[in-house]
Amino acid sequence: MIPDDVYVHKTVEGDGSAFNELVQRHYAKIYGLACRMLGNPDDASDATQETFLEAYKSLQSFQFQSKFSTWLYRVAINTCQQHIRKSDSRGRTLMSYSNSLREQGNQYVADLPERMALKTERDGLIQAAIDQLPPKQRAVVVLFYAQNLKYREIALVLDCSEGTVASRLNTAIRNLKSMLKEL
Amino acid sequence: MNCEDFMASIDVNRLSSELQLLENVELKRHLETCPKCEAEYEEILHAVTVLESLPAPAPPPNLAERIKKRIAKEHRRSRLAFFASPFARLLAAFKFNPHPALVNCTAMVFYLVLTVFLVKLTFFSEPDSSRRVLSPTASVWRSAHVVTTSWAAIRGIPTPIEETESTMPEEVLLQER
Repeated sequence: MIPDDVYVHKTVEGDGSAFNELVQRHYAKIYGLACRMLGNPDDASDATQETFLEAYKSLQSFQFQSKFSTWLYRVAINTCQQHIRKSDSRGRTLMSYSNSLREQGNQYVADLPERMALKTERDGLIQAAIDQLPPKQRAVVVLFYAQNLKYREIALVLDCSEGTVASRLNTAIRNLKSMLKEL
Repeated sequence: MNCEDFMASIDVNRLSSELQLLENVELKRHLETCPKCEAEYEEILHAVTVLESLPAPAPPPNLAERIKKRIAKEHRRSRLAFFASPFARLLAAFKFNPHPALVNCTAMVFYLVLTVFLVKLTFFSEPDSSRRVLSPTASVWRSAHVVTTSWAAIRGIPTPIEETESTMPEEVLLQER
């Protein structure tokens, strides 16, 4: 498999189609991150588009000191935090998230309706709990559990020490444990 | 080890595998003797298990295409020269999206023509002859005279009287005298 850096070089040299390959490789992960950070699929779609647009515009500032995916995660986290600050995404109801997930579930997953409803309700409740966290803790939780990144990678994405990541994650779990008790 | 130390020692990263408890005998011993910490530990373990089971949301089917379209648009925009942007916007309004190089060339030619036009207008315009007094015949002739220079035609500048007279037929000049 051709490394991301090759496509980054091609894009910087003016090959517009090379960036499409990077989009194809990473959009699902970035959407997943945005969805968990923002709590609803519509905002997540917007944030994903903005992330890639921003990445494309500022690709020349990418220094190849980290993996492209790490750098992209950083752009995505910044975009999501901007969304959280300026939009009313936190005020959107849990129902809209559950409904959207249900629609997606009906569309893509061949599952029993009752099981699907339970699954989406449970996901909605977990998401609602994550939404209660402060943005920094939320970012760590999402990167660790939804994106399966290691402490070292999260530290690179969030530009902090591994100790800070561990500390934020521990605090976040302690905040979440009472909310997730019933699930 | 007291309860505070126990809670401070728990590393969420290694919680689900219970590796930590196997490695740290003191933690395990405290857990076995303290029901409060055991309950809290169970809660944390449950929270971690729930979070680990969180599925990745499926992206909408057309999301990748939408992103690619926006990138293509941005790519086009970035290849347009700064002076060609108004042209591109104008063309886009008519659903016409030619290659950026073509838009750049068109814009360059337009600005070149415009510059020549303005320079000529400023520095090489004909003198104003409206104040000159013409004889009646010359005035008639002048009004009938077809201005041949496109420049004058555009601006509506009257042709200089010298030039008009020199192109006047002989018989008109004789009658006038």
